[in-house]
Amino acid sequence: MTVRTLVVVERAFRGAVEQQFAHVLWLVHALHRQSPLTLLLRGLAGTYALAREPAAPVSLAGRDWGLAPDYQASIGRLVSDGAPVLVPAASLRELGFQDRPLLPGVRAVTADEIVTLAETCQRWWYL
Amino acid sequence: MTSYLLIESGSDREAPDAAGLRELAAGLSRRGHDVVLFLLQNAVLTGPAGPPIDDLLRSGVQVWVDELSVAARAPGTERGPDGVRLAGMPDLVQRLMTPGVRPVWH
Amino acid sequence: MGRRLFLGLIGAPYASDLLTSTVRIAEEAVRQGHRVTVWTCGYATALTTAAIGRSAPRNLAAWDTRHPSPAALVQHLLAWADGELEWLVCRFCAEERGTSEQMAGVRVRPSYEFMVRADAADVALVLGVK
Repeated sequence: MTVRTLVVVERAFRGAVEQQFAHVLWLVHALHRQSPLTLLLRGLAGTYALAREPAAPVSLAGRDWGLAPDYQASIGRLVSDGAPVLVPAASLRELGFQDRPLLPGVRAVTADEIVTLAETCQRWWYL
Repeated sequence: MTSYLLIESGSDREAPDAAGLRELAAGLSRRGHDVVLFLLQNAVLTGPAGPPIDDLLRSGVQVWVDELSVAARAPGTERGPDGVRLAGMPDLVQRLMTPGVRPVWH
Repeated sequence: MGRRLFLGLIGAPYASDLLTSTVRIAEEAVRQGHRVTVWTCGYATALTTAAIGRSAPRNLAAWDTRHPSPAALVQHLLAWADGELEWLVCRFCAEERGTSEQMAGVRVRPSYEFMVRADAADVALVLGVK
């Protein structure tokens, strides 16, 4: 039986300058390519789900430094590769973003649906 | 019916999302699943009594509290409210390694 | 019969009792007859670098007392567990954080093995966030 893992990401924006491409959503996509994952973006990480332009890299000492983390691109890859990407409606409301459009393929879920997710996924990791 | 071991390590004061795990525990229990919420590290400071723990107990969640974490942080409160079980690593690992139990660390 | 436990220690040390809890779980699992893999990511990879040595820096207020380092703790657990515990380090994280030089007894592994080993285990728990 294929194990499906529910990955919950809550902490957001963990270091633009030092992480660059190697942020948590890049990791989640890499893991999903090995073993099927469902991604739930809770709390502040709900902001990752919002449709927007990618951020520019930080400009420091006269130059743009490295690559800005592109969370939206990672979410796009996850969706293309068949991973459900979900965000609690409650998280969006708490942040005041309930009326903002979400990235294509991302779906808002209720608390009840989250319990159902916990029932249907055999593993459950906070990353 | 599935058995769960939900391990919470953070207090509400440092991890606002600790409430999310408790809600999930209650939700799973209300659907008839066998849920143990194991509090350790600073999660034992969530409060020995009061709404969070009482609500969980009413929902049918078993609440276990790590004896060592309590002894280090709040000695003298080991007895806890009725319904909360003082536990140790042998209890946690026995549950963790039981076939069919789904563990979660937060 | 013993089962296989995978503990993904990905949260940073020196920020909470995460390492303490991880080694408590690992030790008890070995004690109960299970085989344990601890896989470290992020700054948890720094716990077992070769440069750390066996002792923590000395306390000026108690100069004659030596205290064991986290690396010494892992060495002690590995010796005690007699093959039932392995301590692995994610190569990507080690290169990212300058912790590639690891002490004897600890193995650096390619990052894709995280999921391979988690899937191979009977129980896979991820502790902390990177």
